[in-house]
Amino acid sequence: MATLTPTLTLDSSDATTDVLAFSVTDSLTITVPHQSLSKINATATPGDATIVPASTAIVYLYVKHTGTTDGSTSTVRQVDVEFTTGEAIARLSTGEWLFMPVHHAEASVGVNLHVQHSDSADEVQMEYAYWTKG
Amino acid sequence: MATITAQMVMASAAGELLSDALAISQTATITSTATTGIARRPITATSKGASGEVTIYTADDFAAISYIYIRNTDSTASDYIYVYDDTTSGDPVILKLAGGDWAFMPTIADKTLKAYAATSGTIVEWIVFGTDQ
Repeated sequence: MATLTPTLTLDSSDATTDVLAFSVTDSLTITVPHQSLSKINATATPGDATIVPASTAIVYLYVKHTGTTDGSTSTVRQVDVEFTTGEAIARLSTGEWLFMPVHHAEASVGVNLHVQHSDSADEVQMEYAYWTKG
Repeated sequence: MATITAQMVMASAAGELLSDALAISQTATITSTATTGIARRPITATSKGASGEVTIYTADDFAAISYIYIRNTDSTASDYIYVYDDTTSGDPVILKLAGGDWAFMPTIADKTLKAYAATSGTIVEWIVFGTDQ
């Protein structure tokens, strides 16, 4: 088993009356399979970009919207992170990222990326990685 | 409007996950119109739909994407918190947070997120940063 240490820091001087400044960290025990930092092109067809294979395990998932179609051409199309059974989990806009322990309690399912636009020509280059909880 | 800076760093030493060290760092700057601030609640529901669930986000509280930080404050790994989508058919669970685990994600604005726990009394901590309304 290997260890992954994720840390999140949130700071704001004007979101609340008091300054918001805190950091949380975790020590995650990881087993196989895991997928290191990768890129994939998401399209309007969910099955084109399956980033996590079907599993009943908890999967720590990182996804980032690169804001491009190919590494250089800009796009503002939003991308849904969704189960392979179609239920949406989160929606990413240009430059946004997420980190979450994904788990579908009822079934062995995977995770797809799905461009929120009807034009099948639309593509968004996404960055992702995942690690299976040990 | 307020500005929130969220930074995430993921690290794993050489020889752990991979032969080489892993280090990923990302920063997001969020312009927020409203926030719940840091909230904490004990969850007494131990199944989906039971009394004692905690609502993390209510559908259409914001029209645009909002950002959610959520953490299981428990020190026992097996005291899981389950977060499910109460709007979509079948109420699918989307997150399973072991004790100490956290998530940071942009939500889908029209979906209600609720939490139940494996063990009654497990405390959930969360913040919602709305970007409109």
